[in-house]
Amino acid sequence: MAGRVIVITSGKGGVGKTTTTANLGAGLAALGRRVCLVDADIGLRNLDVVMGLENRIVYDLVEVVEGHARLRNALIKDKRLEGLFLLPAAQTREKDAVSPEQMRTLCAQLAEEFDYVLVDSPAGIEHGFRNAIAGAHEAIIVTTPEVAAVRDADRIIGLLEANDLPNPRLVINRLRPQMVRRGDMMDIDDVIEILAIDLLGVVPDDEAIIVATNRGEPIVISGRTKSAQAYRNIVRRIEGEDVPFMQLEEDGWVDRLRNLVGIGRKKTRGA
Amino acid sequence: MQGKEAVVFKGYRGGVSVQVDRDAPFGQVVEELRRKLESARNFFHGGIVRIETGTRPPDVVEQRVLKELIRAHGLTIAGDGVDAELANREANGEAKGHGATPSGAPGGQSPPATHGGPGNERGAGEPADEPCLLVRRTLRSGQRLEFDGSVVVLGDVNPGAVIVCSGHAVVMGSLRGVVHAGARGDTRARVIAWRLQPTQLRIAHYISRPPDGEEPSPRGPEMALVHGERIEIEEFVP
Repeated sequence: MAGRVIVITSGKGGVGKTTTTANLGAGLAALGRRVCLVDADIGLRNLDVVMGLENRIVYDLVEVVEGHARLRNALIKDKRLEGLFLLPAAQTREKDAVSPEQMRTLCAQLAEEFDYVLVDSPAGIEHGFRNAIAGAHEAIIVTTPEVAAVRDADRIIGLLEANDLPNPRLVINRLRPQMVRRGDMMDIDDVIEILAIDLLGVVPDDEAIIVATNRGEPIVISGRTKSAQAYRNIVRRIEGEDVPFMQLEEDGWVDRLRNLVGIGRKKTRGA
Repeated sequence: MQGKEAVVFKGYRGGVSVQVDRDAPFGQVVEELRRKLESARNFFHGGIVRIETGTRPPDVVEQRVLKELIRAHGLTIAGDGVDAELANREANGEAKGHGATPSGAPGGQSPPATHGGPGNERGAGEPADEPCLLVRRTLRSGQRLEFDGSVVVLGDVNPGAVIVCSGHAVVMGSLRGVVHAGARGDTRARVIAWRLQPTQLRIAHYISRPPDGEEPSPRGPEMALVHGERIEIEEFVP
């Protein structure tokens, strides 16, 4: 059976597409799945850096589609996880070096060998985005709880529908429970109300992710933080498991007291 | 366009020369240059360009417009950031044929690492008739320099930048990107850098990278060369 090709996209830049792709890929591989990550951000590649695999690159996606390199030679094996591979983007070329048709062929080829093909989309809605979605069967939208990011996510959902990729699922990234509680940040329900798509998970804002990303180690593999747990939960939901949303906020003594005396308060639902 | 072309592209070893008709109206020159650069975008990307205006008066403004246009298409202009050494190269290099094969399209496919093999009679020690390109700037992520000959960079080579050359590569700064020296198969090629901290090094068909988890932190200039069947790094002693 052919594997699932999932595009990770957002519209807006800087919301965490690449970090999400790396962590979901590593998380799926940690469960024993065969996973190929595809960096579709040609000219601004990042996924190799986040995975800590930059120095292993010899051939790239563009060379493969142009027929200058064989797919099997361009795939980079992850240094930690069995069954995890990366097809890096070209850095010295431009997005139009690849066509959506070529991406479709490439993804179909990869889906024959892997259980999952995760395509990291570039920001924007232009050529690079159309390449990224061309071969996908499913889409995951990444957004942050900010008005601008949600607006772009909404635009993307519309474009995906128009391109026969209905029912994308949503990852809300970098949620800060304290800000939500103060009313300074959109909460999960606000985002869902606008986008009206299924929630795949919520990842809390976490400095540990920045550290892990800079080191080239996806936090999902061994991280003990809530963000790492959030990614692991998302991975299991992708696998079809019904994982309850975890609570993102630590109960302070005030909350415990409130619970004790029975004054309910809306809890921040979580990942 | 009235019959005669105002802009003619001419390939030569390691670069492209843009010849501008001295009689054509400038507007037509710009239009034609833009159209030609667009239509061959991938072909030229990253290449090195020399502008020849024949006996057209060297109008500063016109030159600047042409240069901007060329740079906007990802090309490097000879005699600008890159030294005018290029200009002498054609005469010196063309007839002697010390490269194994003629240069491919500038900015096109790099010679793959496994390409090559012997068939190159040039000695690594005698660069006298070897074309050499002097680059007076830092190469940043996404910039790719290909050259048939040796390359000297007066600046850094950042991560994500690539140099592919058939001869030696010398970086008078920090080398943090990827360098492929001896790309036509010359295993005698060397990579020398003031601070050698490459993402990856390639010499002829050999590839190496720093060991995982170790940030290379050289204290002085170092040189990478093929020794036995692998790339080794040693302190550079002039």
